[in-house]
Amino acid sequence: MVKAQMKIQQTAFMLIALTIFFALVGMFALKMKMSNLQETAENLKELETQILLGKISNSPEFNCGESFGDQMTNCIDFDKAMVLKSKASNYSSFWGIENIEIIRLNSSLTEICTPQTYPNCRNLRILSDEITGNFISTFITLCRRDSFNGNPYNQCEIAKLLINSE
Amino acid sequence: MKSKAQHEMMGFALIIIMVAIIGVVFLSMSKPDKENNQPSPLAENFLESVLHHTTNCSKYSSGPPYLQIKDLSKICAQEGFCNSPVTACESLNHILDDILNNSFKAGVEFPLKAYQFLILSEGEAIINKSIGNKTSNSMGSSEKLANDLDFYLTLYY
Repeated sequence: MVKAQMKIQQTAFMLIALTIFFALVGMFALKMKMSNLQETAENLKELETQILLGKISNSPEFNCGESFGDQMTNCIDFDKAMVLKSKASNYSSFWGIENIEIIRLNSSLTEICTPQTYPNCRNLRILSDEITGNFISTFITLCRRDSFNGNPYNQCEIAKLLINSE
Repeated sequence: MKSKAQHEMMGFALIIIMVAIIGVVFLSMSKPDKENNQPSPLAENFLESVLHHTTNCSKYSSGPPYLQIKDLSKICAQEGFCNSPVTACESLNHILDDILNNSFKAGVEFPLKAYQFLILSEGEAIINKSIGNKTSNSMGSSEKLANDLDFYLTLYY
């Protein structure tokens, strides 16, 4: 009787131990899969962000083309962007975004860009004057033609492109 | 008899524990660590834009055309001048300080913990700017110009 009871107890312990073991292995496998999913989601989001920013900065409405020498990626023509601001109503649903903002990284400039303050201004808000909600950003090259004593030259600078996605 | 069964159970439990430990170790080792210095599109776009940034250093004695950072770096590597007596390296240092301070906020209270910006000429650092305490989680990018001038930006999160 005692021997049979011991055998049953032994089997029960073995089953419990096996269940715990496989549960642990299952949990680890699940955790790994979930962390991979999260990483994949983050990578996809980053990729989506870069595609959207690239789409904007390389669209003909903004892109420098070959106006400033070599073809540059992520180069925005400041003059074009300023002209586009005056026609913002035509583009309000064109890119499927709320607003586009270009911020110059020159700390001596503070003004919002308007036809009166251009080009000595810092923030150019294109589709609307409001920036609310979530935005994504990247660095761009912002170029325009300037002149010194009547001699024209290319003035390019690093700037930030912000896209308001909400 | 009872003692034999107890020994059997102890042995079995020991095997289960050992297999579990081996499994955990194997799983943790098989999960690839986040690679250091993964490519960063942000750093790539930053470097691309920095190279084309127009400085106030004239190509000639004064007035336009003005040098871009990639040209000024070349002159700095040759120990040349921006607008004499200001050396190209002094001017480059000042411009890059301004750009980096306005571009990145690094520190323990920010998502970006530190960054390092490097310009190497033939393997030797002509500009080395490092802000914050570096971590093991880094992303970065590099731009190699034809004249043995390399630009590096590493962002530490």
